[in-house]
Amino acid sequence: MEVPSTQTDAERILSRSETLSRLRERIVGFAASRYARESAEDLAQEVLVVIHEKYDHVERMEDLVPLAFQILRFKLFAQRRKAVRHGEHQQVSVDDHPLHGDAPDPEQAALRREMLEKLSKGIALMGKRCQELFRHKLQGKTFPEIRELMGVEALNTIYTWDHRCRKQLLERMGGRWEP
Amino acid sequence: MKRRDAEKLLGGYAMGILTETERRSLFEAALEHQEVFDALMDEEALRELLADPAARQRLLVVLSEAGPAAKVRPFWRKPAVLGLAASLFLVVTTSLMLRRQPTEALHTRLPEAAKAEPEQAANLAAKETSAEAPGIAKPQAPKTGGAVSRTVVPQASKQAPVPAEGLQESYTSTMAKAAPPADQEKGLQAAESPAMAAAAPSPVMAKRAKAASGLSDSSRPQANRAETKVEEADAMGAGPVPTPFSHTLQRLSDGRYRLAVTWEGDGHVYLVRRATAAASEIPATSTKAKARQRTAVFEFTLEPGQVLDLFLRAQPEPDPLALPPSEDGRGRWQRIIPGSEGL
Repeated sequence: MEVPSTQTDAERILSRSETLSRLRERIVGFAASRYARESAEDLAQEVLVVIHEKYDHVERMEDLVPLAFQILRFKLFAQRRKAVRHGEHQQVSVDDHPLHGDAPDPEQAALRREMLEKLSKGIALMGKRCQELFRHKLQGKTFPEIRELMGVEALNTIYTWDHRCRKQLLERMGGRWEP
Repeated sequence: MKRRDAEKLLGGYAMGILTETERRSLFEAALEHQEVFDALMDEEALRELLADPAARQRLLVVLSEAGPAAKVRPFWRKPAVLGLAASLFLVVTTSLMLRRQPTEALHTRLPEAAKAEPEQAANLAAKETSAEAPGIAKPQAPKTGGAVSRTVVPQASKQAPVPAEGLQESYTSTMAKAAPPADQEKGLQAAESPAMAAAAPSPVMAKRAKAASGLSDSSRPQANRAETKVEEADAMGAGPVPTPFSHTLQRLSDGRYRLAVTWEGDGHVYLVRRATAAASEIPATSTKAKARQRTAVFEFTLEPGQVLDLFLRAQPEPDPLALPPSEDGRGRWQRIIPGSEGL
């Protein structure tokens, strides 16, 4: 039996366990606010099972959280499809046929096209500063780099501007990114 | 990290531009705060979309096409509104300018005309014979409302009967008397219109023009021109124009006429009898001089339709028949048409 040889390993394991524990709480909280609570517990469990079985090598909190987001989103999408196609006897388990990366299916592709169209219209109505900020972000520039490009002293100013622009854009799109 | 600070990183999360430190702080906040976790879950859709390079490129194209024009500007800053406002401004300004120009021109003319009228009236009045001093006529105020002109049309006698020599009627015309009755004026106007229509520099002509037209405003310019020509003639060294003269036409018992012309100072009197196609000079029967007053008497016959042109020239004329029946600035001229009053 292998005992964690270093404090780092123990910390890493604890942090992974603690991260997953907290993730479970957050997933339940999120699902409960959007869906039924009974399903929320099951949903959280399903996400953790996938992480445990498929992504056991992922340990860092910075990697586990976004992974949990993706798995949760996928689960939610699948759950919606199941609800639409209830009674279909040839349902395919998403666990057996997981989607790799972000490869979209036709339905998702259509949703993304619609989302892109709405986003384009919303961006066109943005102010000059918001458009410039959005352009820098699309070009992959970090917030510190954007601060230099826009000639701003405080980084917090860029955070604030981005937060306001994002809020305005979200309002123009009806309060959510997805159509 | 506080929840509010974490929410400011949401925009960077979907774009994938957060630094390592920012990501850690954001995810720690997400594990700690449900609202941040929920917001990150909502950003997941956008993150998936922007993970596609084609979608990013599409949005960059939209941003490059939108540019500054996408910004919502106040309506009064829109080019169409600004252009319309500028057009309206131009139209209003141009209309006001055009409307003001005739008014300004009129106002400009009115003071000038107002000045000219007294001057013209003064010039006309200055040529009255009755009160004028010898020599060149000086401007004087009109004695009446303007009716100072005198015509040569014989009128009903206003003087004492002619001494016993068989004179049937006599009549006198002077430059200072009032204008004749309207019909006489019309007859005079018809007879003298050619002469009056010509440039009449003499004040005699000016007064005649005024009487004939009933002192209409149209006569004033003619009179003014007449005065101007007289003054110009003087200025050109043509010699002083003789003073106005008076004459008296009488019908003799034997059917002939006697014309007595009186003037002051120097001068040479010529009488020309004119028919339709012929003219003849009538020599003076006698000439008298008393102090500065001089009188020339002519006796002659007149056929129906004949008229007389009386000239008073400063210099002797070699060919009186060639004298134009008008004021030329070098003498006086008057047309006499006997017979209109029954003579």
